[in-house]
Amino acid sequence: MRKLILLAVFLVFVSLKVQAQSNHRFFTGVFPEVSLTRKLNEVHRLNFKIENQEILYDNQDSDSENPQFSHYRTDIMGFFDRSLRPGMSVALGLFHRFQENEDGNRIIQQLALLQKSRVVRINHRFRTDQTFTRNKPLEVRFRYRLSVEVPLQGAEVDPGELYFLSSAESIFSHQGGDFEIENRLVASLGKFFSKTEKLEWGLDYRTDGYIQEGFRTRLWAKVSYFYNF
Amino acid sequence: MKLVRPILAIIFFWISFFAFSQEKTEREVKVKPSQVPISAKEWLTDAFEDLRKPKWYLEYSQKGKAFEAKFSKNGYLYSVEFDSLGNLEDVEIEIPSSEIPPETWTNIRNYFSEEFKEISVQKIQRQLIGSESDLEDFFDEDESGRITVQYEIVFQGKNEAWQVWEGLFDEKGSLISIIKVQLRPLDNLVF
Repeated sequence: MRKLILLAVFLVFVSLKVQAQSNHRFFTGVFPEVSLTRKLNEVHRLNFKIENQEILYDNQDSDSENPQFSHYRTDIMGFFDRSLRPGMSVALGLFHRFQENEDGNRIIQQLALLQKSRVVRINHRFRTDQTFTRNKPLEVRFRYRLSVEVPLQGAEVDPGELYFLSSAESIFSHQGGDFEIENRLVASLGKFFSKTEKLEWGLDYRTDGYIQEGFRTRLWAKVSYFYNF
Repeated sequence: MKLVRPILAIIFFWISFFAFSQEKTEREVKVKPSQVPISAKEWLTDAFEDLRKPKWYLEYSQKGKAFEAKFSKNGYLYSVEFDSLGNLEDVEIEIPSSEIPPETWTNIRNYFSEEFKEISVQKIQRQLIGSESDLEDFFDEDESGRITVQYEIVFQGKNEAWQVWEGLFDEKGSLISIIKVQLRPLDNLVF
């Protein structure tokens, strides 16, 4: 476990070092999110989520001084989830983004599969989505996210205990004839308060612009609150 | 964005509010062998002579405290439960369905097909209940005379919808009890 955390920290530092030496865009900031999940019956759930990203440092922003506190984007989304069997579900989602000159809407289709070993929970999430942004062509994406959740106290995560959650996600997009790839790595420490709530503190590291011009990295200090009712 | 500051304020309000309102329920923590009653450790070394270091856990529940040793031996996963004073309660061994006597397994399968449209077995544990000396004889001398055998089976079963269940069956394969297993919420993994 310690090795994993050290590795994540090491990777982040290496990437920061690389960015400091090149002219590609890098920005970092805070990323709070709140997720509310309502169980409708044994099979159906509704999820509502709000995410907010605020930039604290941007290496190529000449308009504002660093450190800064400027709004990057706020996303709100809702999902209707149907369980196919325990640990397997499909969901449909609607999403709206508030971002300067780039407000957008998205529809999302998702399949999630859980693998549970004696100790670790591994989840595979497959998504396709279509984003409609004013004055831009339609963007279609395919995403795959692998998440691993490990209890840090005992063999099960019980109320009041901590866990470690790490995820890696690749996003393949197509917009106006151009392909693009984005990668995301997240390492978080979570606290499971009860079946209704948990809180996660983590680092979310994103890279994109691999194929088209403008390689970019983003690093977020993320705080996530989850409420189930 | 005018919206941002109010949103942030709401988020932090909720975080701080709920951070102090946790529930108290069943939990289990890993403990060092030195924290375990000597009688429990002694029983384990008497019954399983060549045992390597087991992992010890302390469980808190409505029934009180209990110690549990987990280890693997000859390819089987064992879980041995003791009360808070170190008195043996039961031994559970994870087995494949092929190790349940055929007649018993037929009865269990009959129960499944009567009660569920579809099922998928996830885990089977053979529970051995008896006095400390009888269970010790069972493990080190292979005497099975006065031992009660039960099977605890975790399975996914479908009627209206799929659910996870934990059924307890007696030696003949008759149902003793069944409870629904609630999965820990997956919202942080799925959304």
